[in-house]
Amino acid sequence: MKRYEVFLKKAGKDPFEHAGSMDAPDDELASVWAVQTYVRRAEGDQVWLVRREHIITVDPDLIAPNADQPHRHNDGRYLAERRRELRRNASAPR
Amino acid sequence: MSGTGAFSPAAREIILALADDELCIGQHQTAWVGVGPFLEEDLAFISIAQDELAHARALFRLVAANGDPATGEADVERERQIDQLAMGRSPQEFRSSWLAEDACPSWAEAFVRHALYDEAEAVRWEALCHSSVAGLGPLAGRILVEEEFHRRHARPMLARLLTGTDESRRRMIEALERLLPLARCLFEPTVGEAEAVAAGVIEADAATLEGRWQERLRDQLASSGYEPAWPDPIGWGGRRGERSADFAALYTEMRAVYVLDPLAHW
Repeated sequence: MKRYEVFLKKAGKDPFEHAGSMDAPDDELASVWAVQTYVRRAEGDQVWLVRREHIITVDPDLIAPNADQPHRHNDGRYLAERRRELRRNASAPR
Repeated sequence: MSGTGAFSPAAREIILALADDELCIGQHQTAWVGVGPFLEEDLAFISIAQDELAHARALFRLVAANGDPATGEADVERERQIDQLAMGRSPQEFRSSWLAEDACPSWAEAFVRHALYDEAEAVRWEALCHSSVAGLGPLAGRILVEEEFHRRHARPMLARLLTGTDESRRRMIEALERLLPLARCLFEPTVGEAEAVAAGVIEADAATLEGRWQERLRDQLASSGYEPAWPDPIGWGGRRGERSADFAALYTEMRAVYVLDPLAHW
């Protein structure tokens, strides 16, 4: 058996979201079972099945080693002010 | 011919044979809810069973309408007639095949029955696509879409289990050997079959349809290294009102609520 991760997407702009995992012997049966298990009531219009073995799990040590430094979280205030400034200047009479 | 007047007794026999198969199969297969081998298969199997019950209902609606498609969906009297056809007939009035009536107590048998039945069902519905019976052709077209899914479930599963482990292969072959003689009786001719074929109710006789079914099944099983011996049919008579030993329990079970109040409106 292979393990599959199931992702569903609704029509429109919503992204694919993880819905669950399941085991199946091959892609064909995985598709049949996924449809019955996850989208019987039109929970999604598109289904992705990804074999778990194809998922690359990033080494946790590589993930945000400096997460405790607050300056890494840009709240956008400085940039917003600068854009307002530029707009004001652009609409001003030359 | 199409769309006017009551249909012939021969047409009614063809429709009831299919409707009763669908009803019995749907009833038996829904009993696997919650006890299937694993969650995803449980859901797939039950979903297919619910489809079969819906097919039975659509066919009983046709019989109840008796060539008059004008009756609205919400007609209480029509709903009672459908219930009466499904639950209110005597065993001798049923036209089901013995394959559909069989208890198939193990999952291996229940699954193999589904594989044999759905392959046959597709052949039967295909022969109804251009039926002269009003409403039957469009119904067949809609139902074949669902049947495609049923076979996309049955075929790879059967292939997997036939080529999986020694035990899975043994269980599949044991089930196939017991059920194939019963399955051949899906193609017992109904009363007045020649007349129904001549009137365009169904495109071909049961013997022709069995040939198509055997050919599809043969190819499918050959690719899993199994060659069926096509044993003689067991259960000839189902289409003429003879019930198998397993029918009584099924009949009691599916009518348990209906008999409390046959006139109840749901």
